[in-house]
This record gives sequence, structure tokens and C-alpha cells, in this order.
Amino acid sequence: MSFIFQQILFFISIALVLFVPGYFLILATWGKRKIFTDLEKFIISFGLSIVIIDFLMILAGKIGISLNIVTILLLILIFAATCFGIYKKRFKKEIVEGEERELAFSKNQIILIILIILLTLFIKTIYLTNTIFPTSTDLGHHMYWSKQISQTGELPVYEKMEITENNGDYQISEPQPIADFIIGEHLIFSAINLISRIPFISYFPSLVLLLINILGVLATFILTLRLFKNCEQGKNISIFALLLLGPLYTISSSQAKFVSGGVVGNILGNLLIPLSLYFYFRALKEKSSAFLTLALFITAGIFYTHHLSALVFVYVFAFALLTFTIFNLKNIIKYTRNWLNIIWSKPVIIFLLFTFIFSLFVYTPSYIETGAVETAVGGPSKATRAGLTFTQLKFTAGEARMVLGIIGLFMLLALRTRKTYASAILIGWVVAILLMSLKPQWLYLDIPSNRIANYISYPLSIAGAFAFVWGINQVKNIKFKKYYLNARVLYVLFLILATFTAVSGLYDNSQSLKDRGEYQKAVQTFNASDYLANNTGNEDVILKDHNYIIADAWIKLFFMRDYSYPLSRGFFKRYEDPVKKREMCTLWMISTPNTVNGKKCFEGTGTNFIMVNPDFDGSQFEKSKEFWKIYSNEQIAVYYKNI
Amino acid sequence: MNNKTIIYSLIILLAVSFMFLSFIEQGQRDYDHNKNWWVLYFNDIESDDLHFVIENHSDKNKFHWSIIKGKNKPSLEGDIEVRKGEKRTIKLDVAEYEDKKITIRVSDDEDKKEIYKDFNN
Repeated sequence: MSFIFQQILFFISIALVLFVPGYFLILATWGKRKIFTDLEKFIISFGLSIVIIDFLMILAGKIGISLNIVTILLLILIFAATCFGIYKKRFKKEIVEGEERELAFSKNQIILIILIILLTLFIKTIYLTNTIFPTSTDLGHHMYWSKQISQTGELPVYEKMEITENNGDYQISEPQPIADFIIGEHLIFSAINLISRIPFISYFPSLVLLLINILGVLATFILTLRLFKNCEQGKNISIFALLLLGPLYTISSSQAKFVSGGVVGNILGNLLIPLSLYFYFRALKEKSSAFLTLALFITAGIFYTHHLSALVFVYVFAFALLTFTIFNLKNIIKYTRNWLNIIWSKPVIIFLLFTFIFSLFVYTPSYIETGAVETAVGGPSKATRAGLTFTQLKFTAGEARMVLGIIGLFMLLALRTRKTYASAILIGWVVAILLMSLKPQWLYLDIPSNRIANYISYPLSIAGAFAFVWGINQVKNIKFKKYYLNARVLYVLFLILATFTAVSGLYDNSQSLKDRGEYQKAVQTFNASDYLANNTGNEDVILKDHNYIIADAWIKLFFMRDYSYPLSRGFFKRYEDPVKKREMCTLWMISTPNTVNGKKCFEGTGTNFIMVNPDFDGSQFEKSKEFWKIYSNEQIAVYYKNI
Repeated sequence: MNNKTIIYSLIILLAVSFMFLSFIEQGQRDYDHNKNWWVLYFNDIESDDLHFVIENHSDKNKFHWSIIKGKNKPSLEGDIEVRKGEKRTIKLDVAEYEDKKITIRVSDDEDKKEIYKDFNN
């Protein structure tokens, strides 16, 4: 396929899969009324489309319809046509009620927004230049499942074979269920692959993640705009939030590093969480059951996409509710009645019923089926789950962002506006993730704390933007003579603070830029994988190393036999895990192949091919008469066990 | 200027970024473009067949190969030219080499690689 043609197909597939369904759902729900600004509609269409496509593909897969290009296109077409029909019926006489002038930006503000987006995209693009070639472990694992969906046309069964021991004998078991993957992380990639025909081992997964990342940042932008709509400086706050979340610290974890690292669930979570909060806020503010229905829809999407993001959302929701209740205790009964009025409405009840039936009888997320929820609660079981220190969290969030965000949090708690929905949501969001990261034992959490901390930058950016913009605005109103203050001094202090923030964020970017990519080594891994895929059969068993081979997680895509195939010698420290006992065969077969244990494992598992980096693992095989060396490049040696 | 300006700008910027990164990745994926490596492997893995392949993705075109029986000196040698992007197969007759470890060594003056089959068992 020529490059230009491939690009055209890629853009068409993105438009069809990631924008069309959401746009038509908005059309069916609100017609062409100016409920949203054009930018909001653009971003919301994207988020809704991801969830819509997920549910459509799950439904089709469960009914038994094969998932291929025709099915995907038909699903999108039928959905869009149905929504259009509903729109035509409901909005016979289209009433365009007022423009959203309150959220209109000035010319200078629009230029500033575009410049911020340009800078954000520029820095991320430069970073990704060295990491766009697929090498990351997480992305390789996820794309295996996406490729399986595309190849089989069926929904994946999340299971993998394992090496088991029985009275000293080793064997490869039948596939066992695994809870690490959730279907929403894979369906959209399959859909794009099926339409565009671009292979999975290419740029497209990373570019889709980049798109989700950018739209996640913009979702936070429109959320900020709505939260501070009634604030005089609301637009400036949202633009500063865009600056804090956009170009500053734009490479660090949860941003571009997660894009190249393939942390699919987290990136999707950081889009869907702000989007769901956006809908919940508008549902409460405008007492709208339509907004509440879509808020619940996005929430369901979170639960079908990423278990950790779902858990974070639950805590954020709980803390927001708690915050609002505490600050509105006197009128809580009145508010509860208002909420129940919105909940007890036809669209909400129908949707809740639909979700209940869908989750029980159509498709239950894999982590619920395997009981993974129990492993995430109950208090920290390891040191890495016992909470981060404040310093560690500061480095994750970005120092300047952390400082501003904490100041913003205190300001929100102190001001009279803390009673509002906007403050409750923001305070709840910040406090929830702070506590989950710093004091998980208080919340009975048992999850790696650094993974939770990756969610902090979004709410901190909003809180920090509020602190800065509100603060600098207050300086204008201070009676300087009365307080013996010099206005110029205060403005200079704010300028210093802004400079510190910018320098800190951009310096963090510079530290994260990689010198060179690993594609030179990765292509050799893929060449070796291709060789083995073409020269082995189902009766052969391959074992490869994870420690010293680049892009090894992608090797499984050449075989598509099982998630665990080829077998893999994992990180050495995993074999010493005191909490979870690991099989040792994969370690012995590579590290000590000529020992009694090593030989027993070869015999029991039937492993007859070893793929290693010869600089680290060649000598133990070259000493043995049992192995032939059949393939050799700079990075990879393949040994065949002849006996 | 209105919100549509932001959307159009975003789309253009994303399109440019995507096309740039796609183009870069395509070059990175190419075995030959800006690469300097070569690989040596047997044509047939599991049989006694000793035909081997030199697949070249480096700037060097000239390769020297030698066949070593056991730990002896090379019993057969030769030179071969393999251009960048090409692969060449050298065919060997197995009958002479039974009951020995047969090592195939190939070098390009700077780098050397070996593969072998051991018929000693």
C-alpha cells in the first residue's frame, strides 16, 4: 500500500470510528441546539464514539456476528442512521436557542489556545520521533489482543497458558483466565485496523494513543471552562489549565511517555474521567436527565475500558459527593430531592436497566469475572502499594504544578464558592487521588501507588490554574496603599512564579527526550521472529528472554498462538517475589539449561527453540551438545534443541 | 475567529504530526534504510541440511564464509557478494560432515557470525 493511500485510509478510519458515532448521538439527543460550543461537540463526539464503538462491537460479537470491515462499517452506518432518524423525528421544527456566547473566546485567546496546542503537539511529536517504532512491552501485549479480534472476528477470551508443576513434573497448562486486560482497551484498535488495513506492528497504535492523549487534555480544558463559567476569569483559568496540562511536563508519565509506552487503559481513563465529570456537572447544574444519561454512559465506558480508572473514578465520585454534602449539610435534603428527580426519569432508568442487563447477560468485564476486584482492596500488601512520599508524588505531578495545585485546593476549600458543584467536583477529584497515592491504607487500597499517582496531573492542573489566575486577578483589586503593598512587587512575584512553572515544565520535557530510539535493535528482533514464524509449527515451543531482547513483547504477534507464546523468561526480580510464587522453568531453561531442573523443564514443556541476546545468554548453550545455533544477527541468537 | 478556528487548527496540526511520525516510522521499519546489520541463518532448521543464508542490510557487500568441522581448520571457504537488501543462499553437501559439529563462520572484515549444527549425537 502506498504511503499516501495508507494515510488517507488511516484518517478515514479515525473519522469513522472515533468521531461519527459520537456526533450522531449528540444530534439525536440535542438536535442542533447550541447546547455545546463547536469545540465541546468535537471533543465530546470523540469520547462518546469510543464508548459507542466498544458497546456496538461487544453486542455484535456476542450475537455471533463476525467482526470484519463490513460489520464495523455497517454498525457505524446503522447507528448513525438510527440517530439521524431519531433527530429528524424529535426535532421536526429545529429551534436554535441562543449561541453559547458566554464561552466564546476573544481573538487573542484563540491565538493563545492554538499556540499552546501547537507547542504541546510539537514537543510530543519530537519525543515520539524516537519512540514511534513499536517496541514497548505494554503496547505489544495490548496489540496481541487487538490483532486477535481482527484475525478471528470474535471477541477475545482473556486467558493464557502457563507452566505448571505437579510432583516435580512440568507441563504447559490449558489456557487460564487472566484479569489484566479489559475489552475496551482493544476494540477501537481492531476497528481501525479492519478499516484501514494498517498492520498492528506499525505507527498506528501509538498515533491513536497520541490522539486520545491530546483529546484528553482538551476534555479537561472544556471541563475547566464549564466549572468556572460563572467566574469572571473562567476562560483565562481554562487556558492556564491547558498550559499546565499541555506543553508543560508533556512528556512525563501519564502523557507522552504513556503514549509511547502503550499504557492504553490509563490514557483512555484520563480522557473518559474528565468527560464523565463534565456530563455529571452539567446534569446537576442544568438539572438535565439527558446529561445524566450520557454521564452514566461514559461511566459505563470507563468500567468496560480500564479497571484502575474505574476504581479512581469511584473514589473521585465518592469524595466529590462527600465534599458537597459537608459544605451543604443544611440543604442536603433539598439537593437530594433534586438529584432524585433527575435520576428518576425515563432516559436514566432505561439506561440503568440496559446497563444492568448488558453487564449481567451480555458481557461482564473480565476483571469482575475473575474476582480481581478483591485483590485491589483490603490494604497494601507490598511496599510499592503502601503509598508514595510527598516528594515522590511531587516528581510525578511536576513540582510547579503540584505547588500551584495544592494552593488551588486550599483556596477552593477556603472560599465561599466551596458550596458549589464545581468546587465539590474539583476538591473531590484532587483529594481522592492525593489520598489514594499518599495514604492508600486509609482507603483500604492494595494497588501500586505510583500507578494511581499518574492520574493527579489533570485535577492539579485545573486547581493550579485557578490558584494562579484567581490570585493574579485579586492583586488588581487589592487596596495597596491600605495594606502598604507595592503592586509592582506582587506582579513581579507572579511573573517569577509563572516563569518557574514554565521552566520547570519545559526542563522536565528536556530531561525526558531520548537520544535515540531502539528501532535499530527492534527490527532485528522482528527479523528473527519472522524467521521462526516461517520455520516452526504448532508442535514446536519457543522460549525467549524479556530482559535483554528489545521489543520482545511484540514477538507474540508473529505467531498468534497464545498470549504467553512464545514462553518468556521475565524480569529476574519477579522470580524472587515473596508474595506471589512464580514458575521457575522459564528462568532455568535459559539461565541454567544444562542443570537437572533445566532439563526437566525442557522435557516437560517441549521447548525446543531458545531466542536470546547472545551477549548475555549465549555461552550456556554453546557449551552444550544438545543445542544447534541456527540463527545469528547483532542482537539475537536462536538455538534449536536437537535432542 | 471562533471555536471552529481552534478545531480546524487542531485537525491540521494533528494531521501534520501524524503524517510526519508515520513517515519517520516507515523509514525506521525498513530493514535497509539507515541500517547497518546482517544476519546468518540456516535454510532448514531441523534437518541435517546445511544450506545457509546471508541476509544483508549493511553497507558492506563482501562476505567471507568458511566451514569448520569440529575444532579443525576451515575445510571449505569462499567469498560471496551480497548487496544491501539481498539474501544469498550457499548450498553445502551434508554427506561429508556426519558425526561432527559443523560450524559456518561468516565475516565482513569487521564483524563475524557463526551458526552450527552438531551431528555428534
